[in-house]
Amino acid sequence: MRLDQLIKKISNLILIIPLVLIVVSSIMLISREPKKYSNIENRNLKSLPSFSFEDFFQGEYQSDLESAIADQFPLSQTIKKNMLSSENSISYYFSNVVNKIIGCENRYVKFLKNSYVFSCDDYLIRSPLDIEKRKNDLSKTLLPLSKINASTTFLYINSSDSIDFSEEKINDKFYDYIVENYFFENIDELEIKDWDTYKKYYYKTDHHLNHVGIQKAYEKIIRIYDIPSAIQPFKEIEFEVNFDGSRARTESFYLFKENFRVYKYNFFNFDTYINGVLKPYGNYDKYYNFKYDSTVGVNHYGSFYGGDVGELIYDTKRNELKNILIISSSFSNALNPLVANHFNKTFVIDPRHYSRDMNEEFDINNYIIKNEIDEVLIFFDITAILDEKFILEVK
Amino acid sequence: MLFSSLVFIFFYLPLLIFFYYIFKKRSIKNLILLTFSLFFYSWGEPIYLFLMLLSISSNYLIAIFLDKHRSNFNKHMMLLAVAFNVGFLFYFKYFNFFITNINNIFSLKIEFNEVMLPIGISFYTFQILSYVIDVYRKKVEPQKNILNLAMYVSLFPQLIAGPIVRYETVENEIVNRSENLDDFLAGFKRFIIGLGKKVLIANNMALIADTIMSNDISRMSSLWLWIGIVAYSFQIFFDFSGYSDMAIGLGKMFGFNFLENFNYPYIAKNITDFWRRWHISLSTWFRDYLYIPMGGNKVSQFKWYRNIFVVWLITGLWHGASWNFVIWGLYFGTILILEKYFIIKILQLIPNFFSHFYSIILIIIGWVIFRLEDMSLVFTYLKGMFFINKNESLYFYMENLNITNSFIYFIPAIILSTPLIKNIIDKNKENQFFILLYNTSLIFIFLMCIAKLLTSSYNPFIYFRF
Repeated sequence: MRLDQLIKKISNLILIIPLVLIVVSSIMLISREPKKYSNIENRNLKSLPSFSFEDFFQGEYQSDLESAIADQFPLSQTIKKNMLSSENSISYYFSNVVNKIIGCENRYVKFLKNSYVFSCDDYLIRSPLDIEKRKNDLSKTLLPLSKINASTTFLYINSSDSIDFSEEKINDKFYDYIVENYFFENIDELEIKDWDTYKKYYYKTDHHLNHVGIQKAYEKIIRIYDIPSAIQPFKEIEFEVNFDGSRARTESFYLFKENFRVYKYNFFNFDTYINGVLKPYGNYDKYYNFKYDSTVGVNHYGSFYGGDVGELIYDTKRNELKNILIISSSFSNALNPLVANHFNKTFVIDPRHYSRDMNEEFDINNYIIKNEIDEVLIFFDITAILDEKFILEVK
Repeated sequence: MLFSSLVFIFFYLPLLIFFYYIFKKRSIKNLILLTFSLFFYSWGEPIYLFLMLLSISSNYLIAIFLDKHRSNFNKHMMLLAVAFNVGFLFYFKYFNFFITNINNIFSLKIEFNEVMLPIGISFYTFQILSYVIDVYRKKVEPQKNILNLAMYVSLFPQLIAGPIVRYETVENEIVNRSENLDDFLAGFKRFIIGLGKKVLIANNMALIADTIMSNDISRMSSLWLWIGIVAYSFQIFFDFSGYSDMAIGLGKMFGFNFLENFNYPYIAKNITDFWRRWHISLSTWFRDYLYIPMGGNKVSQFKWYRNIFVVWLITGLWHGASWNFVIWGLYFGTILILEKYFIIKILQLIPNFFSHFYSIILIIIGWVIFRLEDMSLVFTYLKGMFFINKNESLYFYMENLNITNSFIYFIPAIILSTPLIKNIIDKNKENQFFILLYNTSLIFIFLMCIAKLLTSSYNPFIYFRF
């Protein structure tokens, strides 16, 4: 066979590769056990939908199937992660060049799809929401909360969604508006009044408060409840693993480096009940023994402190103390055991997940009576307040 | 269903290839193509499948009737058939626009239920019209087998976004086509090229154009406005020509040879030349079924100009039921008249560079009208482009560095807008090493597209609107 003919055959054979890839991928998509969860995207993955004419005529089947293929495609997560990660890295390096030329002091720069950096610091943040456009949305969550039949305290978490760091006088306009327009017995904020404080209290690439921020929030709560002394950490532990926060994971951007650090406390002994079942919450001991997954993109916040659940109960079995109900998002996962030290029972409700996990609607006033709750603590940032999933029905 | 969707690439296409090629009998192959094509259409909007079937069956009967009864009455019957098809299109595409304008002009409050636009109705109605008219003109024989006619109209590669394939082009291939591995692979290569144009270039250009145009245009600097509209110009070209490439390629994989729909329109020397290169199947359709029957240029000068205006008014309206499309059509109609009158004569006297520059500027202005439906925005945009302002340039840049990656796609967009690569391929088509390299690069493009499709949810085709 002449060389030319051989190469021609190879050329044609090469074109068969994508066709084979298509067939193999299709077979794998149908035959493989579907993956349930993506750590990188921090969400449940869609599996191939079952066909129904009703869904088909409404177009739901079609969109579900497309999403399911994207989620279940062989090596989908790796491809997505690497593709986006390399694209975002290019953007980042390019933005560095631009920043050097133009300057970025006191300026928001957006080089990722939804995240910004401020003053060229390696922190992924959001740009502040426009309060004028969101005032009406606030009432949907806040009005029911102000009708709770118990002593209610609201600790508002200032975040990059609610503060404009580029302003001369930095103020959380959402907090000020809530104080002026909604009646809460006790309301306080974390008091982040400058960019440096933000950096101190928050992770570089996550939307949650870090261990320093949580300690600060906890001390605020202790002062609000007139509790004489807050427990103090006896040690700061730094794990030799990069903390890839939610923003890094959702944007697939892993260039900002920060080791995962936590405070170690001597907690009072307590039992934890997750959705009614007695079992430990979080993986403190595993981490303290350095037994953790160090893969890029692991959610160490959720893994160490514990994930989001509908109902979490801490029972210190000290009947002489009060019972407290914390209504919060994942922001409180790190805070809960600290608060629990000062109460008999600490009930933590995440309104997003309660009905899913407990198979009943959450009726807060009934819950307060049933569990003899003395204090209610609301621990929300602005994104939770504006999220319809956090709206409580108060009867 | 979109060609650039994972469902199409990983389920629809392999299943169709499997079922199509396991049978040898032509009638069964056609039946499989018809079934898959109807499924393809119903994937997007199942309810409108019945509408298309109604249109096919009525026109099937009309064509048989036109063929059997050749008399003076026949012309009236043909006009009735045209009125039926145009009326059909008018109701679904222009009814809302018509009533809204009647209400606005005469200050009326006629209440009406909004009519939804079925996908691809403009394309398949024009195909059916060409079939009925060609039967009347005795250019083609009426299709006696309704399944074959249904397959021609609903043939999935060209069904929802063109090119407008005339019946005469595929009349013979419906029953007498041959498939072979070389054509199949050539078609698959063309499909990959189209997929790459759409997923890699058009979608990235769309990201730039949409980011810029969704901002407050009045505050944008001239530089950004130019970048935005140039990106849109590339987006619409690579979006539509990519779709046509995929359609032509898919047709070839199943033994059909569709005509080309684009011929490097952005290298046109004048607007007349541009419209010979852009959406060729549409412009030739209007030429053969509207412009020439009206007399074309074989009439008085006044009627000639009138004919051009009418054709371009309807060309504009064909693109959408909105005034900006009407103005866009008339804009090109006016330029074409001026070119015939004197501009082309001047362009022939000056260096080529200036005639290209002249064309591209007018094309870009046309895209501003096409993209921005609100005419006040069109004027603001054009004013911003041509009267230099430095507003908010820095602020906008810092806020949108995330589109930086997409800028790199300007390079292939510029290169692929010219016949440079095609010329290189043509020169080296006997060089097997080159072909090997070329095929390997196509595989790389295919893999890139799949990776992009997995990571991106932004995937609409612009021409589905029409």
